[in-house]
Amino acid sequence: MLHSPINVGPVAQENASNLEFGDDLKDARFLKNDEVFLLLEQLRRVEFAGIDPPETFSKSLEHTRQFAQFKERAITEELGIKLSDMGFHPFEAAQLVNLVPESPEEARSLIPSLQTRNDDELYDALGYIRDKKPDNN
Amino acid sequence: MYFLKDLEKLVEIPPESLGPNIEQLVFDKLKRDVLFTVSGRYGYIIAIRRIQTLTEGYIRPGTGNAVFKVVYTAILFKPFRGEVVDAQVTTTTMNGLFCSVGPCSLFLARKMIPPSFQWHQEETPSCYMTSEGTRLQSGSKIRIRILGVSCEQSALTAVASMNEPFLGIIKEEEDTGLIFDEND
Repeated sequence: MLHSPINVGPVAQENASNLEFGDDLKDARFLKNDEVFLLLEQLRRVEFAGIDPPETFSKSLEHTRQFAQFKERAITEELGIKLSDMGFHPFEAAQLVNLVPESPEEARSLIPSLQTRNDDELYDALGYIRDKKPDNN
Repeated sequence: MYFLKDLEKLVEIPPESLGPNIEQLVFDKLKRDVLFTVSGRYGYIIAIRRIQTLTEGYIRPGTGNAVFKVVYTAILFKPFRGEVVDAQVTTTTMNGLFCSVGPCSLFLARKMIPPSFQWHQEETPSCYMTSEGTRLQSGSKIRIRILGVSCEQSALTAVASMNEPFLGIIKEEEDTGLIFDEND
């Protein structure tokens, strides 16, 4: 049997600035780079021990290794729970942890859906994320 | 962005391949069928996290193949329009530059690179450079916004911009510090 046919999907309907991801991704659970790095690294050790993983896999592993900010399961889980409690959309939470903005202004510019959040809420969230950074401990 | 999602797939096993440990056979066939495929709806399937459900198989009339409905959790990657991502530059040309975010290749047209960066063909490697000597070349880490995504036969490609406040080159020494364009 051949691979599934390529679906030219509703890419045009999506707009991350407004948290619109289309009907297909309603139940998607967005991941931070750190979580992906930990998951893929674990899979690499189990499934590709001693051999080179395929390109799609190795490029993703390399990308998340380069840009993951925390690389510790306990910290990423704690951040996920905290940001969810603060009412951030899972996509916003993942973006905040991936990008670690320095100011509310930067956060709103990088993640336009945060426009509705006031400075105090964002200072709280950003301060909490920055405190967990390895170079601050 | 990377995400987890439950996906469904009908896995067909030809009769000559059937044997003990059918779960493993189905899992192996599922991996051969779906891993590293790409679609406009879900993006790239990078890995299978776990099998959620595996129904009892039935025989497809006419072929004798056993068919199993599998629901599995996949790790996927899809670039979204409007999303800001960190990327690594792969090639630079006078018309713009290519960079990669995981399995996906993105193009930044010349107009989407801040005007303070000028093209320097004579440099090795050829690169974009500001008057202060900040280089934008193969291997540079940059923060960009995705402007559009298209799905082709076997890849998702996207166009992006770094000509916007808070986007730009990510300093090597300090991952979070960005060099901003003076015009921002």
